[in-house]
Amino acid sequence: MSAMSQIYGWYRRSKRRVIQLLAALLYNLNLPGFANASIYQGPTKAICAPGLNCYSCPGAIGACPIGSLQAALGAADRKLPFYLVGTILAFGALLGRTVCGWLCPFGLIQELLDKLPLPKLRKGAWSRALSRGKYVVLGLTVIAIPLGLALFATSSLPFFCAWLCPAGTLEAGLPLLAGNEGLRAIVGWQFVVKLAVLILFVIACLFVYRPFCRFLCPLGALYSFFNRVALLRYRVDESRCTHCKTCVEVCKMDITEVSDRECVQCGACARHCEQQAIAFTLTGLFKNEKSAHDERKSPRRA
Amino acid sequence: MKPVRRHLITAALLLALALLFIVLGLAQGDALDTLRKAALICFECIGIG
Repeated sequence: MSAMSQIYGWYRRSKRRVIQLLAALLYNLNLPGFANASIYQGPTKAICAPGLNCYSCPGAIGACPIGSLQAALGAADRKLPFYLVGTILAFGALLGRTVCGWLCPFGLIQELLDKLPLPKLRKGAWSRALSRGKYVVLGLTVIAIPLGLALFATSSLPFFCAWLCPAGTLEAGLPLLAGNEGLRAIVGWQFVVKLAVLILFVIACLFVYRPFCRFLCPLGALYSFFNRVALLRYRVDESRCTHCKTCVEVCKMDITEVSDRECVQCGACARHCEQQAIAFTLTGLFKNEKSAHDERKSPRRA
Repeated sequence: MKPVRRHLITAALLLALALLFIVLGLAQGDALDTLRKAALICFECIGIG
């Protein structure tokens, strides 16, 4: 076998991981920032990255959609944040939670931690119940608190960034504090709380698959609303599907069917489907695409 | 209407709405607001805000 075909074979097997790494690198092209403990201030910071990548990460060349949304909702001018809503809507309609599975650096970090050979907690009723948590986090810490404080108090607070987001602590807090003596001098107990949250999540990642994405991520919660209609996603060919539910069993997320709100489009289902009924397509190429909505409407097909 | 077609139409409508929102946002200077926020160190994000 030639070297080229070996490389191509490796790429086919590792395509998603390669794209995850490239996306993480693309979001963080300001590599000198890590050495200087400073952040990039160029014009690309006006553009939101699709994934969760803190804009105060020394490498970041784009904005974080969740941080920007909280800042816009809490701004004193009280403008409707059309630009951010439009950006999230565009990523959602095009990609849905494909962003989570393929383009999110924090998702990649969690997947790499999951690779460590330790006992894993299997998904079940407990994880399905916890997976609703991300909608609470979105509604409360990203929307209600920043907006409520802006409307009824003198100043706002991006609550999710300030108290919950482990990505901010890992990607921005630790590298900036490590290299900036001035910042280290003003560190207080808020950082201790955020560091504790990060440590808890790292420990959780060792035993639970992608716990932040499944239970807390407000960006994943936003994209999940688009997962069933996104242009690029896994689709099931109804004419080949035997309803064996292997796709649901092999999936590490809390899905009840392919491309539902919990699906991060990782493709484990397609690899395990013996009927080859699942494919990642840009538009609906199958004539008999399966849809949970239609199954509910016509119980005969269930 | 077939589900594939309905999903495509929904996605197309959402994309059109997204484009409209982005244009409206750019017109009211939202991109500059995002840049102003993202170009400064976010103290809340790193845990000292």
